[in-house]
Amino acid sequence: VSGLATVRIRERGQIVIATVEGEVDLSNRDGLTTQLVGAVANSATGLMLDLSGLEFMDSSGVHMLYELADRLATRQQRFAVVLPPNRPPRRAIELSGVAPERWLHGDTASALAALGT
Amino acid sequence: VVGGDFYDATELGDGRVAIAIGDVAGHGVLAACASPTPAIPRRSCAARTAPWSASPARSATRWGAERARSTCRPTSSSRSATRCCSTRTGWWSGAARSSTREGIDRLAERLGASPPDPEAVCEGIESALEPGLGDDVAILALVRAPMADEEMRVVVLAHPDELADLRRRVGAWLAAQGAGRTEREDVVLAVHEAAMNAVEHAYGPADAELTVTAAMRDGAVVITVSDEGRWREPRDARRGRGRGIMTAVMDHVTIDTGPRGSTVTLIRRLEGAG
Repeated sequence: VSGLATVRIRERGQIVIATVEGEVDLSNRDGLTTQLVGAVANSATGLMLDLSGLEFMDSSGVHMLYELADRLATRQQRFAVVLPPNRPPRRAIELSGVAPERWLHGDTASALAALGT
Repeated sequence: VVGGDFYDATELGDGRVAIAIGDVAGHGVLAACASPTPAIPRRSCAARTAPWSASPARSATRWGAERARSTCRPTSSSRSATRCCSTRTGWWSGAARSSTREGIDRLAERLGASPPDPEAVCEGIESALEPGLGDDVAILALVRAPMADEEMRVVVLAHPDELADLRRRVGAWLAAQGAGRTEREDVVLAVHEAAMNAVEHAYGPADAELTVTAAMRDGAVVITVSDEGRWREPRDARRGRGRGIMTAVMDHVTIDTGPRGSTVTLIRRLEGAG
């Protein structure tokens, strides 16, 4: 648990799968970032962040996703976010005026394919 | 169903509501018969009672529509009559314990983290209770629901932990104005972003405050977020997304910065539906 959010972490082969439910905002984004980065061992090939059950994410949470993408890219690890269309956090990303990112996926299958599993 | 525990809520007719809750020590028919106040119509806690709601028409603007809901679940159901008497002390000490300052603080902490739903509030408190309080637990949760056309004014500390509560209150107010689901999500996000900007640039010593007002004007929501500091245009482009979100979801966004603080005004026409 990271403040307003509940985090579940499991592994699937070389991939780390993190499911975040609840809400992500300024109060818990730093703690969440640390928790997620810490969950991905150097031996892992990538992180799938499942936000399908997330009810709210603000611009600081959107910023967190870009930060995670950068950090994992530096470690040469892949990154995929699952966020179905019409979920509030997906709207937050779209509304913040950035181009669709290649790490953003509408479902688990597409995210896992991008992670090479 | 025989049960001594009860709650009641009665409109006093002048905009006030009287609330009573009774928890009879012990169990069984004798305890039920010993329950006080037989003269008022009471709602037994033994059966999960339907929510009680004051009529908005009678309860005037000061109170809005009140909703009360009770949940009472025995924490231990197999007690003998003799055991009953001996638990009386335990019951009183339990009640005394929960009335201490520490208990009130813990209660406030729990409520702060709960959505404004009576059922969830009761469950939250129940799960936080120390085991072995000695008797049944009766909780009466009263939620003050905002009314349509009622204006709202909320003052919160300019602290990240306050933002979730602000979102829930704005969301509940928008629902009372007939806003649809997407409208609520959009407007709540915009208000949050405006408030977050003020929190991130919390000024000077601690305990700075944020004031949020909300009103309906000709079918549009007009929400202001005021702080005592200065609006800062974010330097880092990535951190500047909040402004983009506000402009994208609202019809009008204005930011007034004066020597005594900044006010962000957010306006959006409501379509309802959804």
